[in-house]
Amino acid sequence: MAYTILNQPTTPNVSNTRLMYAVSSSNATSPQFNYIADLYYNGSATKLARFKFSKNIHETGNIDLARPLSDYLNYDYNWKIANSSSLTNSVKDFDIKFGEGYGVTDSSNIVEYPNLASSSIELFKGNVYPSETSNGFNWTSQPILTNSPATQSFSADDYITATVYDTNVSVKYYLTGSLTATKSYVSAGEFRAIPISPLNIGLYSESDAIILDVTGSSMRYEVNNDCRADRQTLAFINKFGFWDYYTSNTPLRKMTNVDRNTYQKDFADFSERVTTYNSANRGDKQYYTEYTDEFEFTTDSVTAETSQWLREMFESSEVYIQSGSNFIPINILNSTETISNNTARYKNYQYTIKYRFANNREPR
Amino acid sequence: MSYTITQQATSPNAAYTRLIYTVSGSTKSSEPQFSYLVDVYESGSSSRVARLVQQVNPAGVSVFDPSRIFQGELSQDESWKISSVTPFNSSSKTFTLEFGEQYGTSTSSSITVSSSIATNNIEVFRGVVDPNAGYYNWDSASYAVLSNMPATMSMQPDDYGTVSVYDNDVSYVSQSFYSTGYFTGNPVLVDSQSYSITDTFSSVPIFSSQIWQHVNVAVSSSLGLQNYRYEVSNDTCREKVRFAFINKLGAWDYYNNYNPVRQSINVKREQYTAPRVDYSSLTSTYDISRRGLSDYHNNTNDSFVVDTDFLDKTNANWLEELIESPSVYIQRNGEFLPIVINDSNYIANTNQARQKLFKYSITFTPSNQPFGVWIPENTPPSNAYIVKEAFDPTSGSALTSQLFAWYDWTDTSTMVLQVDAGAEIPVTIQSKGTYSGSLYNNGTAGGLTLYNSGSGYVTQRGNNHYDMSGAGPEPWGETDKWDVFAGDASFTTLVVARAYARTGATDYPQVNFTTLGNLGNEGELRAKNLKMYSWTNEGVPFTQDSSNAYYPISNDITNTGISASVSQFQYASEGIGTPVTRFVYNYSGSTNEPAWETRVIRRSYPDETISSGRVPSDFVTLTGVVNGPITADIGNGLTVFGGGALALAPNINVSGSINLSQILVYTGSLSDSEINYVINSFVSSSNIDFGSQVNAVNN
Repeated sequence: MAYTILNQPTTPNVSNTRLMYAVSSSNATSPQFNYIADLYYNGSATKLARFKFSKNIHETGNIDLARPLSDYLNYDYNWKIANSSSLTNSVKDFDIKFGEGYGVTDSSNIVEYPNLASSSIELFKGNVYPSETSNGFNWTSQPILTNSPATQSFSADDYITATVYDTNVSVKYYLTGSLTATKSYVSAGEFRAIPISPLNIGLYSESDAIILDVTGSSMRYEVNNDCRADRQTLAFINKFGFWDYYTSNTPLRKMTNVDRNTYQKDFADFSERVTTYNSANRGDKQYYTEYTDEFEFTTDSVTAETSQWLREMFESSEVYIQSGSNFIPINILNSTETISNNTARYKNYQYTIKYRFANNREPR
Repeated sequence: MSYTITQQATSPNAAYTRLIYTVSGSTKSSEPQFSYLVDVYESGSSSRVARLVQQVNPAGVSVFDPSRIFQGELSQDESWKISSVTPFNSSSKTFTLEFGEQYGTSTSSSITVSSSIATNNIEVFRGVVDPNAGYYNWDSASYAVLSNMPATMSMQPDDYGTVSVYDNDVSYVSQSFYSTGYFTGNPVLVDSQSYSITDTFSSVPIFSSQIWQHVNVAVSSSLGLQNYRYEVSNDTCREKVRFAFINKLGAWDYYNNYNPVRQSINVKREQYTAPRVDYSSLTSTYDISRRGLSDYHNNTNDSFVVDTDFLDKTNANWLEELIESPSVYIQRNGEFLPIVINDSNYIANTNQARQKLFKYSITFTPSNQPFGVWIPENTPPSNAYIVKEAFDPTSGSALTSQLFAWYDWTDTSTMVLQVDAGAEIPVTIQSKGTYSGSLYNNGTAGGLTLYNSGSGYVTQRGNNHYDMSGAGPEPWGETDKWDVFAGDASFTTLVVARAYARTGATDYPQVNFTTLGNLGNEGELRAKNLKMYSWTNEGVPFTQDSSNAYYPISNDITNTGISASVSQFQYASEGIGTPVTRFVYNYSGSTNEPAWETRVIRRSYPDETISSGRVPSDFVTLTGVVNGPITADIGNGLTVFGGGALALAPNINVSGSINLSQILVYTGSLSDSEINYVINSFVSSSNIDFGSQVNAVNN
């Protein structure tokens, strides 16, 4: 008997792509034949799920396990880490144990033979778009897991983290061009969140520049010297499933929608022992009032690179706004946006970002 | 009457039309439950695709239209990247129609089927016949090229492209690829292809590995010659989108658009509101980050809009096929990505006079969402398609003076070569100018040996030199003489050469070479000649001492600086005896490795000026030093004739050498611009690889 995994995705990989496995078995011509894929956390004996899938005309079986595996991933809310941090919710290792089941006749019982071949994969909640043809369905590894422009801003009272993969990391803190300190981290072979902001590590708050150096790449964070008092810092899950931060120093506008549910009460109060005239008796009465606050701010002019990056914020299902030391969940309301793909053509391109809090005020 | 197919569709035919077959004449037609039928097979296959059963109509016949069945059996050939003629595979098939009949013995009996009583074959492809064309059948006689594309289109060399043809007696499909000459700006043929067509329907690649700027495609068929021209966009860095679409003839057409693509995203969020209080925890504490309204499924769709340029009626009508096409792709990064055109209605250009400024806005969405980052693909600079041309020192015979002698030391076909002591030595080299005589290797003291250095022919001081005599070594001008160098003639000489440094030298001596103008007063025997011979010097630049004219000095002279000079000196040289007036142009631009240089001598008569330099801008001119045709009788039966000559020599010690490339002699005084033209033509020519080195070292 031969059971072979003909094709499997590379590892590590993203969950929002097609994780195509192809298997073959010498028993594939047996009656009622089905292939089996059992999902496990890596090293665990507890089966998460079993999938049965049919053979095709070539007697092999193809299955895309991206959706089911994605269900076992979540996000790490690690904005405030003070040290290098592993990613326990957003990155996980899985074992996929393949097997088969078949009967001896078309009407017999099916006997299942699990775990005839296995494959392991490390997954995170990133995306590979279909148009990214360079590596097929598979994720192409990169050390810093962001598409943000290489230069960002920071403020001493902002939390900022970066997520890296399989690289040595140096975070260098500068003051007026002089290196103040270097914090070194190691993420060999694994995904790690790295604290960047002085607020995260509680040190070097006077820094005016920070450089994140990794093997083959770097990011620069320059202190936000914008004299405008307004500042909105949004934290959002980017295309890789990790946190990016975007700050705008433009004014915030707030609009409140008051939804009043009323009923018409009779001016005469028939419940009184003697109904008398009372000018204070209410006719239209609000029995339920709901308040929805919507906020919007218009960004400064954004480059094509920033525009392409901010599309990830519009797409993101997890966006927070930093308020003091808290991150408050919000929902972006923009549903249709133009993407600038050429700064020369979209010279003064700005976004008006609309959002509302995920938790509305309590209705009255 | 017997069973007969009384009407049938022509073959080949389009699948998207009505393919009408009429059968009649069955002897069983009066039987109960009688029907005609047709079984559809792919030709050569025994697997029946479909069976159509049709009752007899009031006219006593049955009419079949199997076109829908054919349509379902055809699919597109993704033949964008073919490299050779490729017959249609999935998009054209031959079907066999087997006509039969069925009937019973009573109105309620079982049916007897008699199949394959008559057969018919038809080859169909995915073409469309307009229902208002006036006929059902595809007018095969009117097509060879399966496209309604305009005769001129745009295409980039890195674009995939094909042209699909129907073998309407197609004798060939030829393609001529042209680029633009670097120097002249004229079209230069860089590649050509000719394809033969053997199948009924074929796709032909439009491809060349060369850099090209336009390609002429000609299809020769019974319709005559159909010519198409694909041009590279001359606009630098315009954003490009290349569409590939199935046209009305079921084949691929391609359309390049060079306008910015506008991208927008549409995010569809599916949400629920989670309770503010976490009822599942041990103690439900306040958590400001706990999300109420939550996105549980976000779906992003990218869409794109691109405007065309203004279109004339021909292009606009052709692009209707793009908008209506059932299958459209865009080429990006060498791949074809499927898209869907979203425009559901459009205005056709029916009258160009009324719709002068007509263009389309094409809205499309990728078939696989989301698309993500759209990185514009820009057209390269227009000079990316410019190719170097072969060196033409006549500028297509456009110069004011005739090219008399042209010794091309890069062209071995003009040489008789001989291997001597392991070196390849040209025994003769023939002129490619109007004068077709040769220079001969004539061994004599003080002469030069040219050997193949691997980077061209290099002179080496030795016992040979080249002159115009085929009868052995001779002093100046004893036999052959060129009137082009006569005392009353104007002439221009241009030499491309470089000093050739010694192998293993630890210093770079002053290895500049010298062109020698022979100014006259030497008598006819001393003029009108061209020589290459050794030349050495003792001083800077030369010692005016006849004894040193061609004898080496013992030590190299270190180049102490940059110099350019032209002087007239009394020199003696080989076979001359009495020192005579010559001038020497000497230039050294570098203390380092010497570079290729041009050396020009321009003599104008009757104003009797002679100018020399590397290029006209650094010419140094002497006046009044050139005498007329006959100046004096100098006794001994000799008459002094004025005249010029050209001699080439390295002026370095024993190992001094020069690399030779070109020796040009013109019969008149070229203008500065003409001289520059010739030099630039050489510098930018395709047949040398050191153009950038020519005159690269400057004072």
